[in-house]
Amino acid sequence: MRALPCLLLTLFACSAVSGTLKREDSYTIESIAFPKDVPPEVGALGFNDAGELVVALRRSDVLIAKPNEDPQKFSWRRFAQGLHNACGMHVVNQHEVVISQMAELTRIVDTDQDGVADFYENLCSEFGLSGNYHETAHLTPDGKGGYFVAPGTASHNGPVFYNIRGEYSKIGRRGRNYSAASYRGWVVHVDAKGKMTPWCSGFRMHNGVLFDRNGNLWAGDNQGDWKATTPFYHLEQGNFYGHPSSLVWDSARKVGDDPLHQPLEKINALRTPAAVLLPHDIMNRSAGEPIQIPDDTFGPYGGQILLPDVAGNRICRLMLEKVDGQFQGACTHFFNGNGLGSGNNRVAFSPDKRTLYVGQTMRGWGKLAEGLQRITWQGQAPFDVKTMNLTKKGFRLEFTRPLAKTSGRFDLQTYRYQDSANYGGPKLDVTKLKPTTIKHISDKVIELDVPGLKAGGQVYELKLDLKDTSGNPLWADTFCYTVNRLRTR
Amino acid sequence: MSVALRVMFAWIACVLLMSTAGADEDYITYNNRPVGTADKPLILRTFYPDPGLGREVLANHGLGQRARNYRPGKGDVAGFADPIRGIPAAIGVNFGPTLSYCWDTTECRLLYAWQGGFLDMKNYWGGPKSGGRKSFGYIPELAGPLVYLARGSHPLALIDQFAGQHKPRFKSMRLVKNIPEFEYEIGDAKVRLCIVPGKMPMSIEKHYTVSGITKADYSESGYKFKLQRQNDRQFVAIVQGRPDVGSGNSEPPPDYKTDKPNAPWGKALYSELGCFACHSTDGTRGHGPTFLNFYGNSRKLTGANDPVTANDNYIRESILNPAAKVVDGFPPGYMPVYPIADKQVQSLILFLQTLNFE
Repeated sequence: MRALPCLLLTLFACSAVSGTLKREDSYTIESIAFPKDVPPEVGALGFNDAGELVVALRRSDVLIAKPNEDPQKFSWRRFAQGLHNACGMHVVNQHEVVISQMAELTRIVDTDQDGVADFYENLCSEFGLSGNYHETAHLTPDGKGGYFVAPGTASHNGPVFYNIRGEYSKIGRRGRNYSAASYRGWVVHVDAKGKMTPWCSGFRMHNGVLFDRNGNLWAGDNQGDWKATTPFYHLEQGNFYGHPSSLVWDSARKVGDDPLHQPLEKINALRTPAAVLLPHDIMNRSAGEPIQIPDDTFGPYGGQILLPDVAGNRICRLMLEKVDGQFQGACTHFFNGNGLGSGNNRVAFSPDKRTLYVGQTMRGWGKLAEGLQRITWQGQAPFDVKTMNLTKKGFRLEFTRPLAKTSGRFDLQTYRYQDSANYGGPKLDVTKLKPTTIKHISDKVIELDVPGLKAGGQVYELKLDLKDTSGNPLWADTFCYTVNRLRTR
Repeated sequence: MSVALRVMFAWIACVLLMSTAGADEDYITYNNRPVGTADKPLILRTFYPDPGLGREVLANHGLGQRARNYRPGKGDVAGFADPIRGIPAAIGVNFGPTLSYCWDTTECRLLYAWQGGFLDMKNYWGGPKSGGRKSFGYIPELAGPLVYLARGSHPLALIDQFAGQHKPRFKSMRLVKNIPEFEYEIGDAKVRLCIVPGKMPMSIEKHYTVSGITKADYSESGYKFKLQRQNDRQFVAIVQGRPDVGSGNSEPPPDYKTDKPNAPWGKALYSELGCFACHSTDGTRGHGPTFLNFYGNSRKLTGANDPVTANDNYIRESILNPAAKVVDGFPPGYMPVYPIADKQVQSLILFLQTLNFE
């Protein structure tokens, strides 16, 4: 009689470990409430050393709350006020934050430590400001007391002012998204003393830069003119990433009198390609702030990068690797609906690194999608592709869970994009492919050989229909690898 | 006597205002007309309107120019896109109805000041449900009439330096008991400036502390001002604003006589005494009832069952003893006493009669 409860207990335990998974066994999602009538337009997010969540709202205020288990019961207080469209934030400690707002990079300090900031220091206002509503500027700390700042371009949907800050360029003013004021469309470096150095150019609306734990600098950009689809770039000093308006501020590189009217081949030759192309609509429509996943507190994806979608209810996951000395890799969805809202602009991990806070906003840019949500790791790895790597002949997929040996579906197609002055761009030369071989290397690893593997920004879109040994379907089913270079060894 | 009284009553009005406004929550909400108070001013960086500032005031700004029209899918098309008037990088501060000002971080200079409300943010922030900005006209609007608009070159003259030789550099904003103090540099000079409402109606106090040079001077074109010096490098400039400073969009000063009561004189008094800060003439609700269709109409009073008619006697009493009758829905003790001559009262009454359009 004693054996039966024991057996039931064992069965129950088994089902929790390897049985059918619900989404909530892997990640839960909750929406967090702000004080009554406060517009939840999240411009920037971070945590301070007291474990409090710091939220810079786009109208003016920086609010702080200790995270509560009940997402409706955060006790908010105001830390700072008066900021114009706060866009990026580095929380230095409990008493200090650095915020890139519309007009400047501002250090905000609570000098008397009464909980309310009383000192707003201009760290840098060397980049121009045309008055156009579209000119936001994200930041990422450089690890040495300075910052990389990303002053975005202006939109033809808005004007410039008669009186602007910085220099005005008549040539830079032309086109769809334009760089009429100094260093718009650049990433600039501001050192600890506030000295600004232009770093790299060619961006349209790089609404998110990241200096990761490995010392690499990254930025997404927004699909549009000169961005056929959402790109994700590895940034290096001196490089040009494709949007020519910013070249009017390049004193070293002479691209004729009018960089907007150069032969496409010339722009193509100057451009550093994206490490990852995120096919439009399928994957991402507007890249938000990238963030690196903690090593082992947030599921099986430690070290990879998440890239939220400001214009869709999803967060992409990037699987990067170095091939022939350059970064390239694949993208998929970490979250695609399932309770996640749109407007996914900013992200921050909680101090225990188990929860990802997601700040949302679209106000003034598109359909309202304002809010704050959090995604918490619940301990059970979903059935997913953990990594997708390029091999000499195709791709190697490593799964998070053992794969059922029964045959599944591997739908593969390949295409490319050409950036141009047009808004976005179609998939070009779409070709359906059939993997020549599908090899099971281990219970979690598959290798696909692909006929005629091509380099030079070729996207390989793999759609999978597979189950794990417990019958779980895939967490995400579409994986797109951008082959810039082939693996020769 | 009347000046001294006015100063006193303005002060009383300020104290009363402080105790009535500025409740528990300070958050910026969906309310597109946020306001601060005298002891806790509201600070807001945003795009600010340019109400007609001259190029000499905005000397350190780049010049935006006309561009070819652009259409998606077509590129450059016929026609031109002109720039709009706006200030890109200013800081605005509101002390409640007594004073709002716009201080610019590029020029390091007070650009303009106004009274009444602060800003109407609707063009920029949109409605709570729509959230859309007004496409080519998203600059917020001033919610009250201008009393100061900067003219000419920078008012601070720094001895040892040529005027206009150095570009000003904005360093910081510090809050001292909630009141902003700006720090900026011009050449070797470090300047700290705190701007607060003055004691006279429409006046502005600018508290300067300068270091790094031997002496600083102050001059202001187009406005009366007084300097209260502590030493060569520390002083208060009290600038007397006035109601007719608006640029292109304001009416010319009225031409009136003062030998006997008349409506133009009343109109001038409405501006000079600062009535406009609380009483609109277009039906807009302010801190006091609007004067549109006011004269001769019935008023419901706080704490009284029977309404009264806004006739000559009622208006006279409301100017000389405003606490006697308070219109329902407006705060008591808000309006200061205006001990003005009977000819002036009568002129105001004649002016109010011109605002009846029913």
